[in-house]
Amino acid sequence: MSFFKPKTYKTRSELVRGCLNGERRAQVALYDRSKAKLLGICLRYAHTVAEAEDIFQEAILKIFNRISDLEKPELLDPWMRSVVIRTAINYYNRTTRQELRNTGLDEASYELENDDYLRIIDQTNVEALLEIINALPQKYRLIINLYLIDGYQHAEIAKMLSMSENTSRSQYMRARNLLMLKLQESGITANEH
Amino acid sequence: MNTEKHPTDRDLQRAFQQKFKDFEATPDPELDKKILGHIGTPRPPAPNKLLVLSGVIILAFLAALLFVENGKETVKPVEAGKNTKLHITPDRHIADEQITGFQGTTNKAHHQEAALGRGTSRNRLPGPLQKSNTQQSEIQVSASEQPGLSNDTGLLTNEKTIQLDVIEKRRPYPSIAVSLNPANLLASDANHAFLTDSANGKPDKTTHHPPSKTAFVVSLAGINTFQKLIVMPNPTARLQNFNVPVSFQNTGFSAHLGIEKKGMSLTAGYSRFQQELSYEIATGAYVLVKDHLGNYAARSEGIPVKERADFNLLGLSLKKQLYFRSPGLRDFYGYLGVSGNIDVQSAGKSGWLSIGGGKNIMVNPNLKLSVAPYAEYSIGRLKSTNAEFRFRPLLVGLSMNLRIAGN
Repeated sequence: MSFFKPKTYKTRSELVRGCLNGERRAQVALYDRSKAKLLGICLRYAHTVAEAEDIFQEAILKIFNRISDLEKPELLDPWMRSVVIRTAINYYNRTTRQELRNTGLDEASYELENDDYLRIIDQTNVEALLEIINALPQKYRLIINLYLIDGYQHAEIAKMLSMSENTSRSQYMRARNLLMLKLQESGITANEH
Repeated sequence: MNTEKHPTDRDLQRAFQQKFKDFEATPDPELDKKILGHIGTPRPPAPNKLLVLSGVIILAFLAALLFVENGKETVKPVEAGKNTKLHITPDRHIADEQITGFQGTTNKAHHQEAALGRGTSRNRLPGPLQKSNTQQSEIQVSASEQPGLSNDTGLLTNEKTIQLDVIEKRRPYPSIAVSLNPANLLASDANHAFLTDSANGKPDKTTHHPPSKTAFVVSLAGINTFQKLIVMPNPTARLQNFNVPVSFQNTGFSAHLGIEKKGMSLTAGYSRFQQELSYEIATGAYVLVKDHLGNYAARSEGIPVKERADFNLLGLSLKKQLYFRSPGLRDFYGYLGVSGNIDVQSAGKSGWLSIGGGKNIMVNPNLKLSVAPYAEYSIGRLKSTNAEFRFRPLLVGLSMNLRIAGN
């Protein structure tokens, strides 16, 4: 019935303004609009689904509590994404900061050509790729996500993870090597099937 | 190796970003409910620094007053006409003593003590004063020992004999009315003894009326709110399953500071309380619900919402205190009041009616404490945070009031 048609927020600016005014419907609308994408990010950064949900909940509350920090409504989506990523980093800094140690994979070798990896990535479904990323040690997982998927530069990553830029690069190299190895195993397994 | 420029990294970035570009996941419905229950509930605001500062100042002011009042005994000469009657309310333990004597000297100290109601004490004022068993006594005071006190002192000078009508009342808080002739005498602070122009020398029922001096009043009250919720017409959403209030968050406090004279008080105040409610925003989906009789009914599914509205009211309040005439209820009073408030956040104005009562407890001659239950009802409607609702609250509270007599 049109009489009870829910109020719609036609533009991003209206939505942000509604949230800033504490309008419940604007908050629900923003949540409904963004939740799937944001939970997807959490699942990439988290080791388990339960951890992803914890990060997601914490990030959503941060978003609504700090939406007044958003200066330009057009930057809503990247801002929310960055809040979620920073929440994930903080989550792991809080819980398992000491986990990262050398894994002995510095010299791990992978034998496939570059094109083979790209083919494997292309042929592997998202869930399987997610599984591979989730299986990486925590800090490797963070760097792979930040650098390869979310497109942050090493200078930014170094700042976010409180490390030097060189450390960020070397950590990334190790993480990439391990990822390649996992992809190689995955590709071989897939080919065996 | 510069990993950022390595072609492998670029390719990998492109491949991974393409793969995860549209990656989404639907939260579990339970998680949805949990999160939706949290968002929209504003965080409790941090204590207002100004308010805290005001509280500290008021407390410091009160502490200073208490300190000063305990350290002095104010005695002022009072000009009075003929047949002026002095009402004295002595401390209980003194009044209960049998008056047997009175030193007939008219030195200043004894007059001060008499004015303070201490002149009837046996230990302090031994002498030839005689008191009959009736409630009225005639006391002969000889001033011969120190005749003709100086006019400069404002003390007895015209006659050597004064007549005192003493009316002693029994517990609690007995009063003594003393009629003095000639005119010049000393009176203590109005809280302890005050003058009337009654000439008949009989006990006056107005004894229990509030003193006519201006006093400072400070009150602090804890309040509990009950509210009538008004849902404003809204064509954009259908709301259901209201629950008001959902917790004990509907408590608050109020603080007032002002002046009082002849039972009328004018105070400025700050009140703060919350209203909490939960409801659902109806969706287009329906679910079948089985009732206790086993019948099924379609019920609109809703998104649960919990909201809290904070009210910070500043205002002025005018109250009239009514004292009981009965001696048994002399420390009790009732009051009626009106007040106007403005909400600091929404700038909404509201008028309030208040009614209450209380009991005075004498702390010292210049300081009274009263404990007073009261109720306040808002004539106007208060706006909630999101302006979708209006509240008409009824505040019920218990206030602690300090009444400090002015000089």
